[in-house]
Amino acid sequence: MSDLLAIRNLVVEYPVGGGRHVHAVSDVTLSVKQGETLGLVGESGSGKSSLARALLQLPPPKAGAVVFDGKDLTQMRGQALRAMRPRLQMIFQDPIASLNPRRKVAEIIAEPLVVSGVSDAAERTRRVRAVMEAVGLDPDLVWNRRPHEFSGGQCQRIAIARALVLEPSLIVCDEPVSALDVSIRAQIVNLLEDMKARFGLTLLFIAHDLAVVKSVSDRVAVMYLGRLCEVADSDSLFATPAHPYTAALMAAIPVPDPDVPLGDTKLKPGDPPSPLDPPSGCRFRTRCPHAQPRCTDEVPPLRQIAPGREVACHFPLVG
Amino acid sequence: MSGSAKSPAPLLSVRNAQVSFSTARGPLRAVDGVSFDLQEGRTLGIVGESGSGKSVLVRSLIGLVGAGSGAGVGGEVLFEGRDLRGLSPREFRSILGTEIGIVFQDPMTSLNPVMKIGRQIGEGLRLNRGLDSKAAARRAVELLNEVGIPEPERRAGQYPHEMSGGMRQRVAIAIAIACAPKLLIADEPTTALDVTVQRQILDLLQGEQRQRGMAMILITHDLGVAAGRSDDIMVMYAGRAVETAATREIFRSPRMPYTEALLRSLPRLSDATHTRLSAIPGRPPDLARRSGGCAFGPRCLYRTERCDAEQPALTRVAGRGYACFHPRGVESGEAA
Amino acid sequence: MSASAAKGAVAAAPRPRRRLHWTLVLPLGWLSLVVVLAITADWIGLPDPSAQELILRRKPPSLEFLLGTDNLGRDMLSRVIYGARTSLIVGICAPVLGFLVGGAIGMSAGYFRGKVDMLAVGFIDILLAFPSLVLALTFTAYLGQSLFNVTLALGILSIPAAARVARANTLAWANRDFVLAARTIGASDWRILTREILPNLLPPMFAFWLVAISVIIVAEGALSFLGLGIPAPQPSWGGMIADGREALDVAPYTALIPAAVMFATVLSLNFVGDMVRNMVDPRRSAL
Repeated sequence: MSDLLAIRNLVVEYPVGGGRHVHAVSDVTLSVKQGETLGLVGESGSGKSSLARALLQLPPPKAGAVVFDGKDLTQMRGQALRAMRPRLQMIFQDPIASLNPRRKVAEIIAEPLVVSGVSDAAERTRRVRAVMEAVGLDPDLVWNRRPHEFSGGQCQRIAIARALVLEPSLIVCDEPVSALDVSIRAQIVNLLEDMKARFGLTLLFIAHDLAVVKSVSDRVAVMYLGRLCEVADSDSLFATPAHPYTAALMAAIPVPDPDVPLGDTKLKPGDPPSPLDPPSGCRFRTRCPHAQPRCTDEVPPLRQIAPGREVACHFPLVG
Repeated sequence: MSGSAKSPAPLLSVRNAQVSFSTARGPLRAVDGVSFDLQEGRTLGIVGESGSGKSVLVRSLIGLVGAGSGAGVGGEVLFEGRDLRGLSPREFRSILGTEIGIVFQDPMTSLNPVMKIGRQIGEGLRLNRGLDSKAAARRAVELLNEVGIPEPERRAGQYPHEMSGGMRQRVAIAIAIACAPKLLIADEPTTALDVTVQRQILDLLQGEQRQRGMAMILITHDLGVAAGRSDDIMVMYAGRAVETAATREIFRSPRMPYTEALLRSLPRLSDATHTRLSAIPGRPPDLARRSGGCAFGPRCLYRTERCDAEQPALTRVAGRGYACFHPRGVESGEAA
Repeated sequence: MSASAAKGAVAAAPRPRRRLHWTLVLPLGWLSLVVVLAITADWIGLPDPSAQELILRRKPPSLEFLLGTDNLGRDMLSRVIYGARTSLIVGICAPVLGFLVGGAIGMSAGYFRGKVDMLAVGFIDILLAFPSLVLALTFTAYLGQSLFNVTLALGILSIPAAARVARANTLAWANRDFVLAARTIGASDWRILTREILPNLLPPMFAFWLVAISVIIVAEGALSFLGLGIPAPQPSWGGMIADGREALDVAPYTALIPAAVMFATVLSLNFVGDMVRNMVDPRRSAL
């Protein structure tokens, strides 16, 4: 499989006044293969959402390259960049906030078509109807309604329809089910899998819920405080995590089974550091049970420890 | 609730709790006849999704949802034998400070942003236990230490915005346990926190509970949290308690089709990748537009005509409760 | 289960269904009355508001003169109604100017941030720094006193407030995910401002406009009271209050009647403005 998206040495920083910066993403190199679902896992402050937005150049990253289908998006401006947009779409965490409360559903879904120049109204209607049916919405029932009349799950369907109407190649899903009721999550996850199969999509699936990520992803990347910790195929990552942070995450997740004892995260007590002032060397060292002096001095590079597995750790648990 | 026939009198006994709001679309029964007992030292997990009424129920128990906010509240709430429903606001306030402690979901809004942490913790001690400021301040620092905040003296002089979310929640816990309450209510205490921090906070809550012998009500939508931290679970749906049982039984052999479907729909780390999730069709009901019959009916695999016509009452059998005409795993003439 | 448990009767607090509360019927009624009378003033057979009859000066309200006469013998009822016309024209039109200019400034500031925001905020601060009275004075002194100039002056004075409301709301809306979503599909800034943000600004701006009307009416009243507003003999509430000032000890109604009418109108506008503002809060799912 070739790379649809290649991210190289991406850096995203935000100024927060007083000369200080949030180091949201620091030197991340990652690729997404054509037709796969890459899961991206991390807690708050990991930089996963900043990474997602930087991919779409909203706003463009401070440094690094985003090569999509052979073209570097960071070097593109204006009309050229806008012409690429239909191929990269995004769905957001809060489905209700991602829809304009004052516009009708049909208009919301048709908007991408209008913006990209589909001038024939009948054509737009046809395509909007088709995509509504694909996501499980009844066009006649929802056409003239407004987002506040719908539940969170239905709003997410509308958002997915909007993302699909331009027939993109890649969809970035930023925590698409975290804000939804538990009984609805499975529906939306299944819908995303169905849409992926039907339209030949590539997905970047961002979430903090490991179980959901495992369920949909072929490969998984784990981020902590702006850096990648490890990248591996789904099964290997969860069976034998190589990075201590991944192991801690897995131990911390509450399992819906009272017979499974609470895992030991082995994390050193204390708060996670702030992305305003990340620790030197390995950023995880302040909480890592295996930290050594070397971890303070040297930033561990992301290196391959097995085919298809990369880890950024001086003392990985595997390999 | 816990199964033994000769249990001592429960610490908290709720009978037929009701909360109803008047909205532009008509009366909305947020809580529709919920009953349960809670023994000293036990943890009850109340599990439900949005619209289940779990938060409204618990807030109505302690008087946070009441006549003042335009809600109609009914039923009986006996705490150590006293009916909380008949209390004046003043009496309520003294109980809230001393007998019942509460931890809310969002520490940013449940803490006073313009008051130092130490003072907020000491406030309850000064008002309800009659400590003077110095003694209260000292006790506040002790409590900060107990909840695992490093450098407690320095932290006591800080404001909430100077702390991280996890730390603020620890402070909220310190405030809640300051006067050594008998019952601790935690309303989605970790939902707004990261997974690793969530783990620490839940460990803290459980540790404090065991150490002080408190009873706890833990409200959550996360079945994983409920599985690991509660002795008994009450599942709520559309304002009613639809299943109650000891935690292990709920997960091993759920009786309610809703509980069963919910458990089946969860993605698990033990599943292989790309396992198709078993989704529940439809969505939680609109409480303002309730018709007769079982609220879960439209989404239930085992629904019959009876389910549409009648609303099943909570049947209590062998220490478990379920509100279903076709409970799972029970041999009866109506097995699905 | 104890007997009291069976009493699970719920006393839901009653709330009126969707009809207008009495606190709204009165203000809306008053406003409608004022507006209707102001529009139809020429056709309902009112006496000439400028016709002086010195013999009949300062007469208290009677059957012949429903609101009495002022100190030049002019019919108060007629003057109050024609004064309403003045106040309403100024009150309604001046904020519109303010919103068009101020709204554009505020939206640009809130959306583009950075230098645009700095310039806009600076401009607003400069405008606000001028004592409003001095600015209005300068205007009318330079350009002459007339209905148009007064409206223009007050319109300019309402630009900063409108800009602030527009900016604050734009800031809130521009950070929402649906604006980001519009960017991901390649919508231009202009399209986002007009199709995504502006429709969400209209409700709060409308609510603010209602309040602005009442403020402008009072401001116009103050200007006319000082003799800097609408020139005589065109009636205006402020001017009438000024005229009645001299006679406060003998014929207080000549000043109090226009003052009362202004008070009632402004109060009604505020009530209705509050109601609109309550309705405008973004709707979210209830529980």
